[in-house]
Amino acid sequence: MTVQVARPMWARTSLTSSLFAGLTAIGLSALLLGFIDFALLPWSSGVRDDLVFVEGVSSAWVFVFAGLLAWGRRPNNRLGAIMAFAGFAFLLDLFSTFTNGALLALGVITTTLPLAAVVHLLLAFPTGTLRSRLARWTVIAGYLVCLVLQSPLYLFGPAGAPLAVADRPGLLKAGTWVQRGAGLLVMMVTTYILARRWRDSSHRARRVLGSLYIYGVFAVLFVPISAEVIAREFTVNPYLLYFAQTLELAVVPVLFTVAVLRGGFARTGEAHELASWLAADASRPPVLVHGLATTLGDPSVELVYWSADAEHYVDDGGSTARLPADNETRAVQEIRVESRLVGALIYDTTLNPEPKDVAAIGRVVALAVDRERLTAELGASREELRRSRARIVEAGNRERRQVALALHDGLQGRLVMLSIRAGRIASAQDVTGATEVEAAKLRVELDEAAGELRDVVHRIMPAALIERGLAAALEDLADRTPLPTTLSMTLSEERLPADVEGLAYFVVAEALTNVLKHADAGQIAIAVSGDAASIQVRVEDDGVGGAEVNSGVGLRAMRDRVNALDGWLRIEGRPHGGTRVEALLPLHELDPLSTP
Amino acid sequence: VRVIIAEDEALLREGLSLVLTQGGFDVVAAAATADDLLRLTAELQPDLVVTDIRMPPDRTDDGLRAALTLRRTMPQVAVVVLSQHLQRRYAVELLGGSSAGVGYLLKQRIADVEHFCQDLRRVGAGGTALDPDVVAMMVARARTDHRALRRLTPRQQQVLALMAEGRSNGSIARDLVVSEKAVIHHASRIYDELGLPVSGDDHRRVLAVVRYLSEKATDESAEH
Repeated sequence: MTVQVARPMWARTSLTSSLFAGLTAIGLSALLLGFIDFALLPWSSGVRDDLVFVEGVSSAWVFVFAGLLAWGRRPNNRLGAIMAFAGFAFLLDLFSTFTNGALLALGVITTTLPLAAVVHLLLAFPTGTLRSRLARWTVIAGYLVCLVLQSPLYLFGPAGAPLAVADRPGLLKAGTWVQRGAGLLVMMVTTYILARRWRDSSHRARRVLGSLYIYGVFAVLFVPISAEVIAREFTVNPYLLYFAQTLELAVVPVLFTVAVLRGGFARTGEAHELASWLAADASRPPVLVHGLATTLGDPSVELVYWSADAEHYVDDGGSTARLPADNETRAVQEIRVESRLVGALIYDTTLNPEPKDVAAIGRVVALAVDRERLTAELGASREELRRSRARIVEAGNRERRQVALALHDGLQGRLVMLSIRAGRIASAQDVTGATEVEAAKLRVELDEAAGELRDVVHRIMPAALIERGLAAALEDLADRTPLPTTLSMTLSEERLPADVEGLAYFVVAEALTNVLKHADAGQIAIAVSGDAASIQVRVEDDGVGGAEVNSGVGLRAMRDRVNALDGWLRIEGRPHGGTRVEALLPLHELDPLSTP
Repeated sequence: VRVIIAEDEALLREGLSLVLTQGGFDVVAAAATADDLLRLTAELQPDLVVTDIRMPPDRTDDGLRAALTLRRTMPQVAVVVLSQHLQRRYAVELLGGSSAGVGYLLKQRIADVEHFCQDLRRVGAGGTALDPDVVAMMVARARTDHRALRRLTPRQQQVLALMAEGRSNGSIARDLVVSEKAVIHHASRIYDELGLPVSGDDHRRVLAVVRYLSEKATDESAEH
């Protein structure tokens, strides 16, 4: 089955075009603010510092435009808005380098605001909402640290500094320490929350979240550490340090945008468009699941179908599917047509925290799921049929074996004993001549009966197969074939599953019987090869050809038995006359208990 | 001759024991498993062991494996293996490098008490006893690809088969109702035709013939 790549399926509606207009306005104001920065920045304090300004404005724009892109692609997800907000915070932040005026004051107040916005962004990823109380309080604390605890730094600054009300170095120092301590605490809690989320996310979600969280943890730690450690221990141009910090933070929106383009975010709320897409395209299971994965922004989403007969869920192959126990990261959404249960969606709660969004999607796909459910049911009954055929073959083999063992252990021994007794009567001292002759004849006949019984047992289940396995049994078979027969085996002497050994042997035996009966052949070649997955047997003769599977009852029965074990058997004429019988037997149901 | 019997079927074990006792053998022990056989043989040091192939513990070729172990570790003990079904592979394995004191017979042969005891005595004395059926199968198979074998006269083929069974010239002569001299004459014609090394020793003769029969025709002498 081919998996189709989802085509762009979102038509432009009036709703999306008004959104587009709004986003454009925001984008334009970001551009404008950036140009104000460019106009008023204290240029010409050195080429290196000028570069820092350019980089600062550029990375702010990166935040804004990456945010707007995410916003446009995922209108119901607030993450894009938060990202754009962080970009504006960076643009305002640059005001703090202006030489004077009201704009400078605004810049001084918002100096550390970008950090709080980045923390908000990291904690709100990927849904745009803050799910845990800890995350909410951490974000609030972040904004408090950056807006309120920042105030002593400018209120008690040296005289002449903007917004300074009193020159109080003591208060300034104390305020700086309090803000740094609180800021560090916020960063550490953020790191802890991200690490915990990454640990708790499902394996597939980790692929999406992993790089973002790891980088996020690095990003939030780098800013305070670089400010505290690098700036103190080494003499670093403060502009250069700012350059590094800004650049490092600017990578965050880039990573998030990559996640957007990969479909890592949830885009809920456009279910009607999904519905029209489903109607337009006859849904095959992989396409349906693929569409759901794209719609929910969750590559790990699974779709299972309810089997009313069996009263459990099945997957699209018809095998029994188990629902995960509801836990922090996996949840189950039942899908119903009217009140009838038809299936369930298993999804990642990290990526889709709102059950009602998933339920809405579930209602949209319900009819398509019902159709797939019928297909899955058909698959299940086919699978059951296959299993039951395999069981019948296995039961047949087991019975053959038991009959052969019973004859071998019981009846043959009794015939030997009877024969001994007949012999003893024949050689007794006190019998008449007639009795002696009769007893001797009886012994010979018992020997003949024993010989016939030996042949029967051999045909049912050859001794070599029980005692030594396939290689020895085929060698014995070739030895007893009254035509020049070559046997080539690339097969270890290791025992294979009894069913497979038996079947391979009987395929060869039946093919040989056919050759001897019909082919008028001069010689026969038997070839057996095998690997860990399957064994292949081939019997070729140089006779008149013309054998077909349907012509011989024996070979037809063999093909049924081979098919039941998931193998194949075919008979074909060889180019220069003769016939080739070929069979492949898979070893997948290898059960160590079944080998003696 | 001191004998140990190994057979897991109680009925057959007792029957065999009775046959051997009446045939003049001293049955010192009877084992029901291959492990018991090895243990009792090491303990009692018999002259001869008579064992079934399919026995506990595994009920596959346990008896044969025990026989091969005895051939290797206690070559002074003669071994006769009995089976319901004969295979060329087992015969070749049992003969190994020497055909001294080894036998491989169909279980049904027990019923012909007189000949059975003769075969056992021959093996006990260091000779060989291969079942006529397994020899016949080997000859039939060898005929398909050894052209030299097809050039032998029917009488020569009879002699060849009896030689492979481990019979002496005297015994072959009695069987075919010919003189021993005639048997020697046939034997040397067979050696010439098949390119076998001449050997007066019965065991070496068995080994050479069986090897010839079970090997593929590769040498030019067999093909010209």
